[in-house]
Amino acid sequence: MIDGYPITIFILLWSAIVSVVWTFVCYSLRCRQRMIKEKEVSLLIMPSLVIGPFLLLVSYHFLSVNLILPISMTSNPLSIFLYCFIPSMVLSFSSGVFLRIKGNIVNEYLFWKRKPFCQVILSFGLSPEKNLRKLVAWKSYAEAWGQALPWFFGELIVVEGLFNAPGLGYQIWQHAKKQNFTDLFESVLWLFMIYAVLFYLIDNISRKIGRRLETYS
Amino acid sequence: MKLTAEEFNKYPALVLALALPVGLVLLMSIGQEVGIDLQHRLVSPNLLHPMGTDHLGRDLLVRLFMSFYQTVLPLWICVVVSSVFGTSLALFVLVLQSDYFRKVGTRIEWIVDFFDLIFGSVPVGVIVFLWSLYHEEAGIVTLMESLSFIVLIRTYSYVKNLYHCDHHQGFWIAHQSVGGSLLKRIWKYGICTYWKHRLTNLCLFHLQMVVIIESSLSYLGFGIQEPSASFGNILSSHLGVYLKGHYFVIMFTTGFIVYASIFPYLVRYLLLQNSRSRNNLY
Repeated sequence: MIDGYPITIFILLWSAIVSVVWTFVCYSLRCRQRMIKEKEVSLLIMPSLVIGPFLLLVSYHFLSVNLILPISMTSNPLSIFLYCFIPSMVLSFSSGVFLRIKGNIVNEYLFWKRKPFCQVILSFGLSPEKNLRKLVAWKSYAEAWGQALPWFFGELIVVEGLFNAPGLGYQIWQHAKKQNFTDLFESVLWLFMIYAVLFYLIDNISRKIGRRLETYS
Repeated sequence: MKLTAEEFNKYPALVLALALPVGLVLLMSIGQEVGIDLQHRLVSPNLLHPMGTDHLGRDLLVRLFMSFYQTVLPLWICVVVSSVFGTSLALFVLVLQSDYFRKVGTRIEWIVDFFDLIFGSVPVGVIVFLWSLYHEEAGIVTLMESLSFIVLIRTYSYVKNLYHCDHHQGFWIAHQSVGGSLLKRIWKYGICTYWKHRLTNLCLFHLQMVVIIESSLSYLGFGIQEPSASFGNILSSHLGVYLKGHYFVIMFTTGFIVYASIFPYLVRYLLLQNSRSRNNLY
């Protein structure tokens, strides 16, 4: 029997990994643009109820791939992990984490590039982009996840329901439909614990970055 | 806001997009009935049914519009009213704290901050889901209760944060030192300046958020259910159908969800363009 926790954790893991890659790709692309304008990070998000069915429709009719739990109950952990990629991408897009990372990178890059230490680096003929990479990337990453995390967990139930992925969100939905309050309470508690751990982690990363940044200003 | 012919020519697509709900109101007022007609279920789009029919033979366009004005509009009104109340509550608490009623103001602040701590740190979608489950009844009233409370708390918290960021600024302190009242300071230097923009953005985000949460909840079977119309329950009742080729229901329903969620931003964009073009004249 597929347990609920691994699927939810795999979905979160995929989102974390892809968003790290996206952060560094965004940074490299943005730095190559000559004119970057500071702009407000858009709060406009696309719901998973739009992205999910669209993806299911396109994959089924045009690619002949059924994304609704295309794995058996006895599949090995690797195939379950690979399967969780699509639901995690839908969740990441719908929570707006990719868009926020992109917006934060532009704003952070422009902010730190104006600082005196960047001017000193430029005067030595070095590239400030390399020196700013870790600072801008991790700060933007932590900030974007801090903003998107509540929405991410809110949409988790919908995405797992859409793709029939038997994670914690799907279990909560099923227990709620059957009014099985004991199991519902257990699933909700596990979900809140994962949320609290991630919240604490992101908060800690932001504080550590903040403390180091105080030495720069 | 008066729209001149020049402005219409500049943004025709935008104006048409905003005029769509008005057109749909007229369509509804013609008196189309949404009756069950099993002989014409899942009909493809045609002249009689521009978006086709659903699994019970009901006109899909009319159903989608009913979702808009029966579900989305009341929730939007609720959000706007809650935002106003949230802002007023924050101002009330701040003003009370600065005057003779400091103890009362502090106690009210503790109570509201307690709710803010609980509801601010938990995902909104999960709170609304659990609230609907607790009430054990499907309907718009339960949704309105939970969403208006959450919007009120979030707006209150946002206004308080804005005040705490700004009240140390030089011109605020200068105004205080010459004996100006706190309410006047907040109004003149806060709300009438850039707070207006921030609070509008927050309200627009909440307007988008309620559309998404309501659709998600009714899709999961806990929000507004049949025979009441909602984007989510239209999607969930057709999930087994679109894989067999009847994909127009999914297309039109998701299109309406997208439209409803970006509609407030379209209005704001048009208003901003209008004010910019008027400022350019001077």
